[in-house]
Amino acid sequence: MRVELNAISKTYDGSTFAVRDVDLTIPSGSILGLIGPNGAGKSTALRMVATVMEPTGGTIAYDGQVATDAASHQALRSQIGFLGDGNPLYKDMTASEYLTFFGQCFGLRGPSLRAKVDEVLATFSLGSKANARCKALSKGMRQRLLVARCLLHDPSLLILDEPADGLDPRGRSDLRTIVGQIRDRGVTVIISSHILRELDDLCDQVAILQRGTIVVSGEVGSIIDRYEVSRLVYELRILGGLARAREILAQRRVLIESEAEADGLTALSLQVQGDDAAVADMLAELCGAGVRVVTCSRVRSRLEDVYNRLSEDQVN
Amino acid sequence: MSKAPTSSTRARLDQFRDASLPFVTRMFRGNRLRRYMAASLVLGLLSVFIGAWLSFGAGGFEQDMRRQLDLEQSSWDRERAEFSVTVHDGYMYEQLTAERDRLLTAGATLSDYSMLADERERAYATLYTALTMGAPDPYAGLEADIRTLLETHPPTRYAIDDAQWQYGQEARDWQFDWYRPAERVRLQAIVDQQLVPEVVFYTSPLSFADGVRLTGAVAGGFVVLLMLIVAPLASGATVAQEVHENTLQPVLGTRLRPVDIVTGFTAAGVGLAAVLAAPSFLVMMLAGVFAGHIANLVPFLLLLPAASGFLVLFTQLIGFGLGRRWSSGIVATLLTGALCLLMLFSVGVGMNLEDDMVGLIAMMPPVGLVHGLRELFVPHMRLSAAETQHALVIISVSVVGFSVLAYVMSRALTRRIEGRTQASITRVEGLLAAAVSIVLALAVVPEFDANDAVPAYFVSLGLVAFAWQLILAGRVPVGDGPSTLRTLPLRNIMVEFAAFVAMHAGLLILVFGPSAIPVEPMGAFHLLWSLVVLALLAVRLVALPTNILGSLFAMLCYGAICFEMVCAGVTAAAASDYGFSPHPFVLFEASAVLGVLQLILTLAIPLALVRMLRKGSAGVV
Repeated sequence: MRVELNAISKTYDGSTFAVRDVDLTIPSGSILGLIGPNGAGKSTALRMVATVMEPTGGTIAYDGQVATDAASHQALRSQIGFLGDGNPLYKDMTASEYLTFFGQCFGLRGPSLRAKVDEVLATFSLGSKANARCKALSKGMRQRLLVARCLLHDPSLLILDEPADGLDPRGRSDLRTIVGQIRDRGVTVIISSHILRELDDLCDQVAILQRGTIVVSGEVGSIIDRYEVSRLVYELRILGGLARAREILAQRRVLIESEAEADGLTALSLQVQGDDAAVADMLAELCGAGVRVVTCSRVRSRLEDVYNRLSEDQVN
Repeated sequence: MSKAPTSSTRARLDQFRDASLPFVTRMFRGNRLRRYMAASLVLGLLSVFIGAWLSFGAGGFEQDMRRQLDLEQSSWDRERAEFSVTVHDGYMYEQLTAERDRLLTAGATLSDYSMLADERERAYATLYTALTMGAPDPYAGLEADIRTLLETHPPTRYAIDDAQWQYGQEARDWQFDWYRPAERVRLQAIVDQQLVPEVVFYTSPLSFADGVRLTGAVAGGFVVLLMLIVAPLASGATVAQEVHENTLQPVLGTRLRPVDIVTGFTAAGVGLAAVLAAPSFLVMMLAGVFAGHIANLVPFLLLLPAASGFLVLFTQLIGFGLGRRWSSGIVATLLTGALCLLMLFSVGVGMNLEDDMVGLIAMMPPVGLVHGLRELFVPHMRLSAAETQHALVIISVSVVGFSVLAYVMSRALTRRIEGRTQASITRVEGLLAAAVSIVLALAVVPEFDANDAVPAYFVSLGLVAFAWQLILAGRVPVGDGPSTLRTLPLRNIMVEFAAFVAMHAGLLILVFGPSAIPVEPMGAFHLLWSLVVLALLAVRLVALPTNILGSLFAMLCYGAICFEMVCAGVTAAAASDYGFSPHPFVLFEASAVLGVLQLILTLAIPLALVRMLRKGSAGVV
């Protein structure tokens, strides 16, 4: 399902906008990572896409069709799996009962419902907990159960708001695998998280939201490439002359991000302001001053670097 | 031959099944269904046991219950009429029987502390009192028998010569009326039994048929309690929990429409009560068939779903409103208290419904249900045939009225669950609900003649005022957005409110005639003021957020509305009855300061309300 957000806005108090003029296009079958600090408007935006919240302004088109009335929203919900932020479980229901309830809410019946419940329980490694009450499950298991609920009806758009919350490293890894598999089935996935390493190599697209507005969006690789231009990080490995190197780098206004020892060499992570000529000049001066340079290589920026760069002091 | 359901009917049934299935399955998940069925069997058996116990139990409590239900005479009346002593205890029965046997033996005397001696003394008092009063001619024979009896069985406590005087003293307190059949029956029994009281071991006087009827009434009572307390409570508490714990949002994200969710909540609550009530319902129906009153069960069977449906949807709305702030436990406690109070009141009134209270059924269907059960199974004939017909008409009005109100509430709840910025009810729904509330309120008002048009108007107005406030509240657009972003259609709301007022006055004029309602300018001013403020306040309470100061202001407004309503009534009555007009601002008659205060509040309250609405919203149109 292709989703297009056109100038979507939402305000709760009439003066401050939780989401403002958000334009976003999510191609069918892709994974969009929505990134932003707490209070940036991620959950509000996702709720509007999931049709459970009315935008104050703007429209959302699903496969080119703008849903405006309740009936069209209702029809859409059969195709959307939505895990909202802070959706609690029914504490006194077992995992199996919980999934059965939502399966019936999505129109599944009889053997197909039972088969689907068993399938998602197995997919999320909850088979042994099928008859355990939700209140007896660990936080990670509850989160898995919540995600499992969203997949019962084979949605064509899956919206996950902070799905990795409470999951242990293994659980996160499994979730990434599952989300990847879902994408491979042609399902469009929108996923929000503040743990960027999870989205880095999972998402096809990313959008960074701050104070309710999109500050950057697009394919992950192109965003990284775009923001690398003005923020180059190099790893310099030297055999000796560390004190002299520090003096020269300080004079050239190069920021040493970190120092580490590796394989008998000192590895310096450097931020160099300027183009390749500035790096060449810096290396020539270091070599001229007796610093024994072994290697100098550019470090490719990660999504986290881009985000950190963009979100400095931007927390709402 | 029954007609095959049309495709639209089938589609509706499918929709109902699809909507209900998740919630009903959830209600009966695991082994709950088995537990509820076991509980329902216990309740069914309990209704039979309680019915049999109350019918045939010989204990004092059962006797009192039957007495209160007018199923048997009081012991006092029975003992007086039969000249007997009733005992509930086997040992006492043996003792008194032995005493009686001794008494029947010539020359034996009784201890002063014996119950038989007391009864015999009372018999002597009765005989001497009767003689003192002097028998009318038709009863001269009985009087002669008494004199003969007293000669053959003279009193032992006093000398025979003193006896007439001594017992005659009591005659001043013990009036005897020879023309009362019950008194003559007692005299005859004393004479026949030769001043020796019978000793009766108490047993229930009810027959098997009476027992079946009483069992039917008990089972019916269980059904009413389950449908009017358990079903609304289960539904209201579930909605409150869903709202409070934010579990409603995932359900809203499913294929179910908001109306399906409301249907599901309703079906689950009613389903629970229905499962619990099924055996009791069966017992009630069988008892109805046995008693030959099956046709008379029809009004009961129509009123029960209307009343239950109304309460189920009303408690869901309450649960939705209160659940945002309070946990389901608190909401359930409040609902339980309110529903139990309603049922206590309904049982109290319904069991003893008099002709001038029949109208209460219109606004309180549980009263009609209790009254219906009583009349079906334990008739006490307090209502004449005409009054029974009146009650049937009121019940019919109540069935239609509360069904309509339940529908309007379901629409309101659907829109609230949907969560979009809109009014909870449409204009048509509002007018429909207002019309129904007016008819129900007028049905409550006891029959007035043309001179009572003014009190009838104000009593019915007072009754519908609360309903009108709820309807107006439902007409105010609300949603998850801030009030400052919403434009208030105040003009439309006030026009609709004016239509409510006109409908009410129009119906009054239709009933009492155009000349019955006096038009007195100052009374009309007071009335208009209180109605306008009532409407503005309803809009303000829903449209804008309320803080403590706002709540205090609302209380002040309500006080002022009541005061002005009383002023309007008094002014209209004074003009109608005495042709006298009080001061327009009546507090001036008490003190100039109070009068000025009244004047200021009269101007300030509506202006303040309008200002608040303008300031707190995007605009007022």
